[in-house]
Amino acid sequence: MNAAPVTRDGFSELLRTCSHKRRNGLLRVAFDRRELTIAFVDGRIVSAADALDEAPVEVCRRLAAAGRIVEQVIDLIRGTGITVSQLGELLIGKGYVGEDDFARARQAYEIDLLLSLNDFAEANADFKPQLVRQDVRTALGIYPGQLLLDLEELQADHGRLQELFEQGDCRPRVVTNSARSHALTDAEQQIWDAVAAGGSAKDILANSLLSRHQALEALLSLYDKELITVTVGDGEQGVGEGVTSAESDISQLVAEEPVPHSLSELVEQAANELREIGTDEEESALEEASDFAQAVSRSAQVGLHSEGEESPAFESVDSPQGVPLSATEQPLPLPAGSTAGLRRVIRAGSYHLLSAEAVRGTVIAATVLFFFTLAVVGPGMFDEWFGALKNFTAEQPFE
Amino acid sequence: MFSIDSGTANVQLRIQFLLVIFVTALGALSAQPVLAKPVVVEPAELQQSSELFPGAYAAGTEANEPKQAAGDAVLREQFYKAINELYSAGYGRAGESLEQLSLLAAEQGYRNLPDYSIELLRQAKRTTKPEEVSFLVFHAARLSPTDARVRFVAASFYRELGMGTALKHAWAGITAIAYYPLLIATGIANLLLVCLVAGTIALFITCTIQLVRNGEALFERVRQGAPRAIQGYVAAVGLIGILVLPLLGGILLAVGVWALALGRTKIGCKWLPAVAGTLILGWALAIPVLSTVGFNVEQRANRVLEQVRTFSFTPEGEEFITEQLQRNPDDPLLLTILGQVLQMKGLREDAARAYERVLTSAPRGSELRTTSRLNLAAIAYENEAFQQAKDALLALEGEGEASFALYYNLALAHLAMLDTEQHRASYLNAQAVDEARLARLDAEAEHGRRPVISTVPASFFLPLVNRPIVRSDDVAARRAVERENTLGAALLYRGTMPVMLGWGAVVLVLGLFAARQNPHQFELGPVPQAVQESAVWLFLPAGLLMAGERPLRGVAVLTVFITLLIFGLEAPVTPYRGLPLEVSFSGFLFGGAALLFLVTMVLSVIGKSRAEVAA
Repeated sequence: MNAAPVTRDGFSELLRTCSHKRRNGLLRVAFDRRELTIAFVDGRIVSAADALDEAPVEVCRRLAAAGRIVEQVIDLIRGTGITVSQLGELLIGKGYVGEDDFARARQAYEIDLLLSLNDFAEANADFKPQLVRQDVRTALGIYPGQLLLDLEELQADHGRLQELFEQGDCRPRVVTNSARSHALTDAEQQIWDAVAAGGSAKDILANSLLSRHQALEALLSLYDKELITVTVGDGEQGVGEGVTSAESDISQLVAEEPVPHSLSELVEQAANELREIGTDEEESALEEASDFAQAVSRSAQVGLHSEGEESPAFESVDSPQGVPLSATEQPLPLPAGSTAGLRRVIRAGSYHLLSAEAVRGTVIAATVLFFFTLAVVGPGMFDEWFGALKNFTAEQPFE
Repeated sequence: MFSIDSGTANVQLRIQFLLVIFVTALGALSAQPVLAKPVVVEPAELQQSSELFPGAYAAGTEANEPKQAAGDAVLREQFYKAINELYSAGYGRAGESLEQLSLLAAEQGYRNLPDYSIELLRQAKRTTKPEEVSFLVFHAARLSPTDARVRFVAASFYRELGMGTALKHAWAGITAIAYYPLLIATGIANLLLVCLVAGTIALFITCTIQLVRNGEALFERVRQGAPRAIQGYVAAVGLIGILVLPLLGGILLAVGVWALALGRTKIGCKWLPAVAGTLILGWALAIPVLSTVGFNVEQRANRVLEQVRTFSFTPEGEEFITEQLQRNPDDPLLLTILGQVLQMKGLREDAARAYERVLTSAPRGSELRTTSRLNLAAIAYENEAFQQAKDALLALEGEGEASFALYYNLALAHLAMLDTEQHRASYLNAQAVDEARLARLDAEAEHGRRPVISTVPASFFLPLVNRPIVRSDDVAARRAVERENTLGAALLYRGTMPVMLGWGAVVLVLGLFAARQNPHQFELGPVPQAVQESAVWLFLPAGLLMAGERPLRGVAVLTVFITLLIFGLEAPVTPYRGLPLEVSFSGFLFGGAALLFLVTMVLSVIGKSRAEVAA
């Protein structure tokens, strides 16, 4: 399978095609030395992953920035090979974060990955049809058309956003004490709450569990509704009142309240949990998964870089929301030896047989073979049966 | 209420007999020759004296003479005279002759003349004139008014007779069928066999359609059960194997495997394997039973016994009983039936001897003993030994017997002894047992009443129907086993009975486990579970029931549909012959199948519309 270079317009067309034809599979996009893998289920985007990112770390970073967990957790999970799903089970199961917060952080990370597509002028893209298993609790469920609209919107508002909120010392402030009467969206309400709590735009963007695009759009919307003002340095670009630094401090303290344990206790428990994950049984399972994922990534690499060019380091999709049927883990070094190579080939072949097109082809082939066999064997089978029946009940059968 | 005057009756009979002889002699000049020599039943074994009722039988011997003199030959001559008149003198004369034949038969104690009725019906099949068909069918039914077979054949002329008349014949056949155990056995065997065939075909078709429609889901199910590293290969090979390989092992292997696969894959199919297992077990158990029943209902001996039991005129039957008795002189069943025949023909002394033989040969507590004692009492009554008849009947009543024949004959005996109070009590008892029969006897009692002859209970035919073939004929038994094995092998690879039983049990047990699965176990991830229903399925029998989400109901509807078609076409299985002529109700059957098809199609359309609205 070859990766084809596509322009921005061509990429948009590719997304629309996936949507219209309700495709299932993985779209791999390589641009600017980045490699995104976007998973589709029935034409909708359910997840995204960056081969160069360590997704659990990124999700943890967002949770830590939002004050949901302490930053030590990031260091603990780095390099452990834990998946995002396992991380979610660990953090949610132990009550460190709520299920909604974790899902928001994860979706925000993936949406930001998708919106990073705004940056490329030309890329190599390769769509690989296959069955994709989605986690309905955290799946993005974005229609490609919506993504394209968001990208357009982002590009259109780029100048204003930069001018208003992306300057070094930009501080938004609320104008009224309550925004309940303005029918705000969830994202706007979250941002309004964050603005009311005080802080710079940069902090608000970093600390919210929304994606950067969602947060910026929410800020812009609040600004347009004249619910907030923006001050740059000593100046002011809107109307309204700020909050005191004391109130801001209290808000920051409140933001730390969801953390259920003391710092040392939390770090110790997290370390224990990670050690539990690393038991023999789990390690062997992870190793098995990694081997297979590597075979997958190799096949994907062949598809993306078939023209002999130097392929960048490509990691398999670590995306429990849109997991290919077998590829779930970070790749480990290939085991040496011809047996391992043969195993890889076998697994890769098995993996290819599980793609959507292969399944459909197998079903069609089996059906055709079935009807062919029925046509060959059926008449004889039924003749024999009906003949035996006729003989069985024939008139005067024993005379 | 009753008026019994045997002297007057005898005079009437003599005059009637002379008239008949005169008319018959005239008609016989142009009649066909007599087909067979009249049978005179005189078993040598029955030369014993009466033990129970000494002297009770001799008095009536004289009364037998006119009936015996009329004989079977007279009936035959009268019948062929009527047939000749039909083509020479018209319907009027022929009808009179046939009426006369009925009277003659009744005088000899016959209720039905099935051989002659069938001959008339056969003639009706040959002719093309509607009025002639009506005439022949009408008189066929008149000659055998309580013969279920004749009535059913008569109902098959619904085109010529009209629906109303045909339905009357059919209803008369249905009400009389209780007296024809072999006909019931034949009907049940045919229904069982045709339902098994139809059910197998229906399950095969339904499984095929469901497999083709749910191929991807099946692939996913196979994949889930395979080792992770080789899931792709296992699923592909497994799918092809599940679809193709069972075809090589016979239809029962195919439906079993397919039903099991579907039952584990699709929630709507979860009961299919249990149904398939039941069907396979049904085949395994039914084949030997059907073979045995099919053999026994075709046996002349059993058919003759049934005809004689229902007071039908069957000279061949009486001859057959005589032959059989020479081989088995102490067979209580044969002796009872012989006694019944003799009693019916008026040979009361001989009949009494036969019944006495039953009392000595039948085991204590046997119903045949009770039947014989009842009939001995009836003979005593006919010989005007009323006190003895009454005593015998009261003794039976004291032993707990409570049949219609007991109460009716007891009522007659009480009346003969002018005990109206006891007569009234027994009459009411008889009415309580069988009111319809009493009303019929009352309606027929214009020229006096005769005691009811008790017949052999229908339950005695059950062992006859299930009698192992090997006890009748070794060669036939061997050939029967060959036929059973041939049918088994055609259904299943190496399909002997143990193999079929084993396979059926496996499918049934696994099917019951599949049916107990939780609904979430049928979730197969991204595989589309609900497919947009195609209108193509609406035009198939059983429609979307079979092809959609309710395949079990589809199998049931399709089975009924195919059953109707098989009975209409008599293919691919020819039903066992229960009726004396080839009759066809194909019009009704095809009409029923078409109606079912239309109803199912409408239901499918409604179901599809609802599903679309809900979506």
